[in-house]
Amino acid sequence: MSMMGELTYFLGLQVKQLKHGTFLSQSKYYFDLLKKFKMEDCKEAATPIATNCLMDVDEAENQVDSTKYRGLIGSLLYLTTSRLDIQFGVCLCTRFQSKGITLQSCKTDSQVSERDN
Amino acid sequence: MNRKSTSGRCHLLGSSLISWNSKKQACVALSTAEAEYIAAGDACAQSIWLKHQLMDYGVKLDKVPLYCDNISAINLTKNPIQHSKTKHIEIRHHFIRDHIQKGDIEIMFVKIENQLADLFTKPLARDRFNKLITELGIVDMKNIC
Repeated sequence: MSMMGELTYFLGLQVKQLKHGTFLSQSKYYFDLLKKFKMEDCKEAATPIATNCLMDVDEAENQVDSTKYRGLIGSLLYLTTSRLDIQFGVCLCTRFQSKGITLQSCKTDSQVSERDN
Repeated sequence: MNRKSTSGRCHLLGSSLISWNSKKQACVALSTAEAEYIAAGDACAQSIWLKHQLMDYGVKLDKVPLYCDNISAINLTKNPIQHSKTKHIEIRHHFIRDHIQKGDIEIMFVKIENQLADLFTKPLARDRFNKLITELGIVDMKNIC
Protein backbone atom coordinates (compact mmCIF):
# COMPACT_ATOMS: atom_id res chain seq x y z
CA MET A 1 0.00 0.00 0.00
CA SER A 2 1.29 3.41 -0.85
CA MET A 3 0.89 6.52 1.25
CA MET A 4 -1.09 9.08 -0.68
CA GLY A 5 -1.38 11.75 1.95
CA GLU A 6 -4.28 12.74 4.14
CA LEU A 7 -7.66 11.29 3.21
CA THR A 8 -9.96 13.99 1.89
CA TYR A 9 -12.34 12.33 -0.53
CA PHE A 10 -13.49 8.73 -0.70
CA LEU A 11 -16.47 7.24 -2.58
CA GLY A 12 -18.31 10.55 -2.57
CA LEU A 13 -17.64 11.12 1.13
CA GLN A 14 -15.68 14.25 1.88
CA VAL A 15 -13.43 13.86 4.89
CA LYS A 16 -12.29 16.80 6.91
CA GLN A 17 -9.70 16.10 9.56
CA LEU A 18 -9.44 18.83 12.15
CA LYS A 19 -7.84 19.06 15.56
CA HIS A 20 -11.07 18.45 17.44
CA GLY A 21 -12.32 15.59 15.31
CA THR A 22 -12.89 14.09 11.90
CA PHE A 23 -15.93 15.16 9.94
CA LEU A 24 -17.62 13.40 7.07
CA SER A 25 -19.89 15.16 4.65
CA GLN A 26 -21.46 14.63 1.26
CA SER A 27 -22.18 18.20 0.27
CA LYS A 28 -20.75 17.78 -3.23
CA TYR A 29 -22.85 14.67 -3.71
CA TYR A 30 -26.11 16.27 -2.73
CA PHE A 31 -25.51 19.44 -4.68
CA ASP A 32 -25.01 17.21 -7.71
CA LEU A 33 -28.16 15.36 -6.74
CA LEU A 34 -30.22 18.53 -6.60
CA LYS A 35 -28.88 19.50 -9.99
CA LYS A 36 -29.62 16.08 -11.44
CA PHE A 37 -33.24 16.18 -10.32
CA LYS A 38 -33.57 19.89 -11.16
CA MET A 39 -34.38 20.94 -7.63
CA GLU A 40 -31.70 23.57 -7.04
CA ASP A 41 -34.20 26.26 -6.19
CA CYS A 42 -36.55 24.22 -4.02
CA LYS A 43 -37.58 25.39 -0.58
CA GLU A 44 -35.63 24.27 2.48
CA ALA A 45 -37.35 22.27 5.19
CA ALA A 46 -36.37 22.09 8.85
CA THR A 47 -37.17 18.41 9.33
CA PRO A 48 -37.17 15.68 6.69
CA ILE A 49 -40.69 14.48 7.32
CA ALA A 50 -43.87 15.92 8.81
CA THR A 51 -45.07 14.44 12.10
CA ASN A 52 -48.66 14.16 10.96
CA CYS A 53 -47.81 12.71 7.59
CA LEU A 54 -49.59 9.48 6.78
CA MET A 55 -48.34 7.99 3.56
CA ASP A 56 -50.32 5.59 1.50
CA VAL A 57 -50.26 4.04 -1.92
CA ASP A 58 -51.48 6.50 -4.49
CA GLU A 59 -54.62 4.89 -5.88
CA ALA A 60 -55.54 7.90 -8.01
CA GLU A 61 -54.47 8.35 -11.57
CA ASN A 62 -51.44 10.50 -10.71
CA GLN A 63 -48.84 8.30 -12.33
CA VAL A 64 -45.35 8.77 -11.01
CA ASP A 65 -42.34 8.38 -13.24
CA SER A 66 -41.15 5.21 -11.53
CA THR A 67 -37.67 5.28 -13.06
CA LYS A 68 -37.13 8.78 -11.74
CA TYR A 69 -38.65 7.86 -8.38
CA ARG A 70 -36.40 4.84 -7.96
CA GLY A 71 -33.39 6.85 -9.06
CA LEU A 72 -34.23 9.44 -6.46
CA ILE A 73 -34.68 6.83 -3.75
CA GLY A 74 -31.41 5.11 -4.66
CA SER A 75 -29.51 8.36 -4.56
CA LEU A 76 -31.07 9.35 -1.25
CA LEU A 77 -30.21 5.95 0.22
CA TYR A 78 -26.57 6.59 -0.60
CA LEU A 79 -26.89 9.97 1.05
CA THR A 80 -27.89 8.28 4.32
CA THR A 81 -24.28 7.14 4.75
CA SER A 82 -23.60 10.56 6.19
CA ARG A 83 -27.09 11.96 6.68
CA LEU A 84 -28.65 9.61 9.17
CA ASP A 85 -31.33 12.18 9.97
CA ILE A 86 -33.10 11.48 6.68
CA GLN A 87 -32.86 7.71 7.12
CA PHE A 88 -36.36 7.26 8.47
CA GLY A 89 -37.99 9.40 5.79
CA VAL A 90 -36.08 7.79 2.95
CA CYS A 91 -36.80 4.28 4.21
CA LEU A 92 -40.48 5.19 4.43
CA CYS A 93 -40.45 6.30 0.79
CA THR A 94 -38.68 3.16 -0.36
CA ARG A 95 -41.65 1.08 0.75
CA PHE A 96 -43.75 2.56 -2.02
CA GLN A 97 -41.45 1.78 -4.90
CA SER A 98 -43.69 -0.67 -6.69
CA LYS A 99 -46.84 1.48 -6.72
CA GLY A 100 -45.60 5.00 -6.18
CA ILE A 101 -46.93 7.62 -3.84
CA THR A 102 -47.65 11.23 -4.55
CA LEU A 103 -44.18 12.65 -4.95
CA GLN A 104 -45.06 15.48 -2.64
CA SER A 105 -44.05 13.63 0.48
CA CYS A 106 -40.68 12.46 -0.73
CA LYS A 107 -39.70 15.86 -2.07
CA THR A 108 -39.13 17.03 1.48
CA ASP A 109 -36.23 14.64 1.85
CA SER A 110 -34.22 16.18 -0.91
CA GLN A 111 -35.10 19.62 0.31
CA VAL A 112 -33.51 18.89 3.62
CA SER A 113 -30.41 17.60 1.94
CA GLU A 114 -29.89 21.08 0.62
CA ARG A 115 -29.00 22.17 4.13
CA ASP A 116 -25.33 21.67 4.89
CA ASN A 117 -24.37 19.04 7.43
CA MET B 1 -51.06 -0.21 6.74
CA ASN B 2 -49.94 -3.67 7.64
CA ARG B 3 -49.46 -3.11 11.37
CA LYS B 4 -45.80 -3.86 11.43
CA SER B 5 -43.51 -1.81 13.63
CA THR B 6 -40.31 -0.06 12.68
CA SER B 7 -37.09 -0.98 14.46
CA GLY B 8 -34.58 1.78 14.94
CA ARG B 9 -31.20 1.53 16.55
CA CYS B 10 -27.91 3.35 16.79
CA HIS B 11 -24.55 2.24 18.14
CA LEU B 12 -22.09 4.63 19.68
CA LEU B 13 -18.42 4.02 20.29
CA GLY B 14 -17.40 6.57 22.86
CA SER B 15 -19.34 9.58 21.68
CA SER B 16 -19.14 8.78 17.99
CA LEU B 17 -21.95 7.19 16.11
CA ILE B 18 -20.69 4.17 14.22
CA SER B 19 -23.74 2.25 13.08
CA TRP B 20 -27.45 2.92 12.72
CA ASN B 21 -30.48 1.31 11.20
CA SER B 22 -34.16 1.93 10.52
CA LYS B 23 -36.14 -1.00 9.25
CA LYS B 24 -39.68 -2.25 9.17
CA GLN B 25 -39.95 -5.44 11.18
CA ALA B 26 -40.60 -8.70 9.38
CA CYS B 27 -43.47 -9.82 11.57
CA VAL B 28 -46.44 -8.29 13.31
CA ALA B 29 -45.90 -7.75 17.03
CA LEU B 30 -48.82 -8.17 19.39
CA SER B 31 -47.64 -5.50 21.83
CA THR B 32 -45.21 -2.59 21.95
CA ALA B 33 -43.12 -4.61 24.38
CA GLU B 34 -42.86 -7.38 21.82
CA ALA B 35 -41.88 -4.92 19.08
CA GLU B 36 -39.20 -3.44 21.34
CA TYR B 37 -38.03 -6.92 22.24
CA ILE B 38 -37.55 -7.79 18.57
CA ALA B 39 -35.72 -4.50 18.02
CA ALA B 40 -33.51 -5.17 21.05
CA GLY B 41 -32.67 -8.57 19.59
CA ASP B 42 -31.56 -6.95 16.32
CA ALA B 43 -29.49 -4.38 18.18
CA CYS B 44 -27.93 -7.16 20.24
CA ALA B 45 -26.83 -9.03 17.11
CA GLN B 46 -25.24 -5.89 15.68
CA SER B 47 -23.51 -5.07 18.99
CA ILE B 48 -21.98 -8.52 19.10
CA TRP B 49 -20.73 -8.15 15.55
CA LEU B 50 -19.23 -4.76 16.38
CA LYS B 51 -17.66 -6.23 19.48
CA HIS B 52 -15.96 -8.92 17.41
CA GLN B 53 -14.82 -6.36 14.86
CA LEU B 54 -13.29 -4.22 17.59
CA MET B 55 -11.53 -7.25 19.01
CA ASP B 56 -9.71 -7.55 15.67
CA TYR B 57 -8.46 -4.01 16.21
CA GLY B 58 -7.33 -4.86 19.73
CA VAL B 59 -10.17 -3.16 21.58
CA LYS B 60 -11.67 -5.47 24.17
CA LEU B 61 -15.14 -4.62 25.36
CA ASP B 62 -16.62 -6.31 28.37
CA LYS B 63 -20.36 -5.83 28.74
CA VAL B 64 -21.91 -3.76 26.01
CA PRO B 65 -24.69 -1.61 27.44
CA LEU B 66 -27.89 -1.63 25.43
CA TYR B 67 -30.47 1.06 26.15
CA CYS B 68 -34.09 0.20 25.64
CA ASP B 69 -37.02 2.49 26.41
CA ASN B 70 -39.53 -0.20 27.35
CA ILE B 71 -39.44 -1.81 30.79
CA SER B 72 -41.60 -4.76 29.77
CA ALA B 73 -39.21 -5.58 26.95
CA ILE B 74 -36.28 -5.39 29.38
CA ASN B 75 -38.03 -7.74 31.76
CA LEU B 76 -38.73 -10.16 28.91
CA THR B 77 -35.00 -10.38 28.22
CA LYS B 78 -34.19 -11.08 31.85
CA ASN B 79 -36.76 -13.77 32.43
CA PRO B 80 -35.83 -17.02 30.73
CA ILE B 81 -39.00 -18.78 31.82
CA GLN B 82 -41.74 -19.66 29.39
CA HIS B 83 -44.75 -17.50 30.02
CA SER B 84 -48.22 -17.65 28.53
CA LYS B 85 -47.90 -14.03 27.33
CA THR B 86 -44.69 -14.73 25.47
CA LYS B 87 -45.15 -18.28 24.26
CA HIS B 88 -45.92 -17.17 20.69
CA ILE B 89 -42.68 -15.21 20.25
CA GLU B 90 -40.45 -16.91 17.75
CA ILE B 91 -37.32 -18.60 19.04
CA ARG B 92 -34.98 -16.45 16.96
CA HIS B 93 -36.04 -13.39 18.93
CA HIS B 94 -34.93 -15.02 22.18
CA PHE B 95 -31.35 -14.71 20.95
CA ILE B 96 -30.87 -11.67 23.20
CA ARG B 97 -31.77 -13.58 26.39
CA ASP B 98 -28.91 -15.96 25.89
CA HIS B 99 -26.40 -13.17 25.38
CA ILE B 100 -27.61 -11.30 28.42
CA GLN B 101 -27.18 -14.41 30.54
CA LYS B 102 -23.72 -14.94 29.13
CA GLY B 103 -22.86 -11.35 29.97
CA ASP B 104 -22.04 -10.13 26.46
CA ILE B 105 -24.73 -7.48 26.63
CA GLU B 106 -26.23 -5.57 29.50
CA ILE B 107 -29.68 -4.13 28.98
CA MET B 108 -30.64 -0.88 30.64
CA PHE B 109 -33.61 1.41 30.72
CA VAL B 110 -33.56 4.85 29.16
CA LYS B 111 -36.36 7.36 29.24
CA ILE B 112 -38.02 8.07 25.94
CA GLU B 113 -36.80 11.71 26.10
CA ASN B 114 -33.23 10.47 26.11
CA GLN B 115 -33.71 7.73 23.54
CA LEU B 116 -31.39 8.61 20.64
CA ALA B 117 -32.78 5.93 18.35
CA ASP B 118 -36.18 7.63 18.31
CA LEU B 119 -35.01 9.46 15.22
CA PHE B 120 -35.07 6.22 13.27
CA THR B 121 -38.52 5.06 14.24
CA LYS B 122 -40.88 7.98 13.79
CA PRO B 123 -41.17 11.44 12.32
CA LEU B 124 -40.27 13.98 14.97
CA ALA B 125 -41.08 17.62 15.61
CA ARG B 126 -38.42 20.19 14.89
CA ASP B 127 -37.12 20.81 18.44
CA ARG B 128 -36.68 17.19 19.29
CA PHE B 129 -35.29 16.41 15.85
CA ASN B 130 -32.64 19.10 16.17
CA LYS B 131 -31.75 17.99 19.68
CA LEU B 132 -31.30 14.37 18.58
CA ILE B 133 -29.22 15.10 15.49
CA THR B 134 -26.87 17.26 17.56
CA GLU B 135 -26.51 14.49 20.10
CA LEU B 136 -25.83 11.99 17.34
CA GLY B 137 -23.01 14.20 16.10
CA ILE B 138 -24.39 15.95 13.05
CA VAL B 139 -23.09 19.49 12.86
CA ASP B 140 -23.54 22.25 10.37
CA MET B 141 -20.53 22.44 8.08
CA LYS B 142 -20.50 26.21 8.46
CA ASN B 143 -19.85 25.89 12.18
CA ILE B 144 -16.68 23.84 11.92
CA CYS B 145 -14.71 25.61 9.21
